[in-house]
Amino acid sequence: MKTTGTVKVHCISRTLSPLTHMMETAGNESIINREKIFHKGTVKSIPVISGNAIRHKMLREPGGMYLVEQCGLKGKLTIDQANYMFYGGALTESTVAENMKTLAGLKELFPLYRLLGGSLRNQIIAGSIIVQRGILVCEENREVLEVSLPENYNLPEQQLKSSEEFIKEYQYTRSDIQKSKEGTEILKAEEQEGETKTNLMIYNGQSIIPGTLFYHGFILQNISRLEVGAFFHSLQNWKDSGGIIGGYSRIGHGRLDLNFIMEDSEDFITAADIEVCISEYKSHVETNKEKCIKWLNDNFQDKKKKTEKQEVLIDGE
Amino acid sequence: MSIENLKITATLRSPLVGDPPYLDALLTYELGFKMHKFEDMKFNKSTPIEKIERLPIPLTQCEINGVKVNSCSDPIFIIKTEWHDKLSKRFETDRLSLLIDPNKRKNITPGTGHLKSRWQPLHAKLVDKIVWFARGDAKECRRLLKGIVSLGYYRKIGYGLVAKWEVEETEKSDNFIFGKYENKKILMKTVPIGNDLKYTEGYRISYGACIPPYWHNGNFREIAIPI
Repeated sequence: MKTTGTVKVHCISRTLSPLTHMMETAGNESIINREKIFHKGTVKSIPVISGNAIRHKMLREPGGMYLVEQCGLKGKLTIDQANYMFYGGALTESTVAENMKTLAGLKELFPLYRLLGGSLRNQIIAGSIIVQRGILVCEENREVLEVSLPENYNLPEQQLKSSEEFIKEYQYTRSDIQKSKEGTEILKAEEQEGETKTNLMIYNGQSIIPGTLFYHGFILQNISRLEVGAFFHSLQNWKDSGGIIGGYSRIGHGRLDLNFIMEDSEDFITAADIEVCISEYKSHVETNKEKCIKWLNDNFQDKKKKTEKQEVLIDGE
Repeated sequence: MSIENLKITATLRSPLVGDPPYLDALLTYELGFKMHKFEDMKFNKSTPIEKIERLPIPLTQCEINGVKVNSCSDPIFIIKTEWHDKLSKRFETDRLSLLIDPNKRKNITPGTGHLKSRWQPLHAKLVDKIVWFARGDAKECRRLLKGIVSLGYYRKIGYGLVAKWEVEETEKSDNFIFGKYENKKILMKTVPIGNDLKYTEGYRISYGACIPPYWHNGNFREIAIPI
């Protein structure tokens, strides 16, 4: 049995509410994110969920929040620590270094960040996961889907629906207290006098209808069981917190029902091992939480403190 | 090891960002992992080129203008369409403010600095297939390429995914450095400038590398790049 290997996870997600994953705006109308594909001799723009959104919403955010809760870091993080844990960090120092001790510490303590990678203040750390884009299950995407779906999963022979059939327009109104019935009762008298500017606004855009299917997936390369545990645990946390992707979640948009199939790798891991891997990951975090906090504090300490520490060391010498 | 003329095809199933890589660069990278070459030391531009070993990739070599280049063509592909995707990143102060230590909470400026919000354009290309012609060992090429699941930039968010690799034997040809088109000798691979390029057409002159590692400036020289 190998201790490291590559895992492929295929996902089929069904939208449970309108999905608003916007690319740009035209006036006050938001346009759904699209990619171009070649279909029957013409180029078409088809809605797509970006890998960037899936990666953040399904993995980094729920995974980071779990670590914050387990390590008791609520209200104790620095801005740079939060930026690293939730958004992948950024290079902030002019000199790039490759500190093996820091890297080894990170890789030993944080299977989630070994998986996702990121950037410390002075070094970039490569991740080991490839997050695939969410491909709309429609006739235009048939060729791509046929080569992407796992073995023994075939598309129906009859024609699938065209992508445009999955898109609808939504429209909402943002009300203004001055225009509402209650406004006259609750606003000060002087607020109602004279001409007033109103904030009443109609906004609209494109969304994907509920019941639409998206195919996406994950390729986890050269990973250990702890990373498998971190991956599935984050995915599970995302599902448990409502499974939201895209915008307007405040008004119920973007709920996804995710179903996955993991390709078994007999000499490394099978679908039956997932729960065990999650338990191993949880117990790893529980056992190492003090070390995790120390590592975060050591590697994201204030520049001022760092300089003081170096001065003490020099004086000590 | 049996040496054959090969046609290697990568069929893509997602858009490509950046340019397709050179075949010898891909094989070197993958072989480096298999030989655990990247575990002992990290290579970067400051590593002297003499210390970077040229790995025994399963391609033959031939000497062009005094440099031993690998016998493989540059990537050949057709861009069906191209567009700009956007990559967004934002430090969500609204969500995170309560997680931050009360003494560390401060005004941040998302318009500048390391917490700057990004809406970065990515130049995406729709490419169905990338083809390389090469002379080498088909079995070993197949074994190495099997481990490569995506090509180009931003692979982590699903660009440049490879649906399948095909390594097939092709008809005899002298080499894959020079080809023939309408009775003209044309260049098919990035090579150094020199006398061997006499009577050759279809290239532009530049400055860069023509052997792996392509990113190391120790390998930079005047080169001819096929157009």
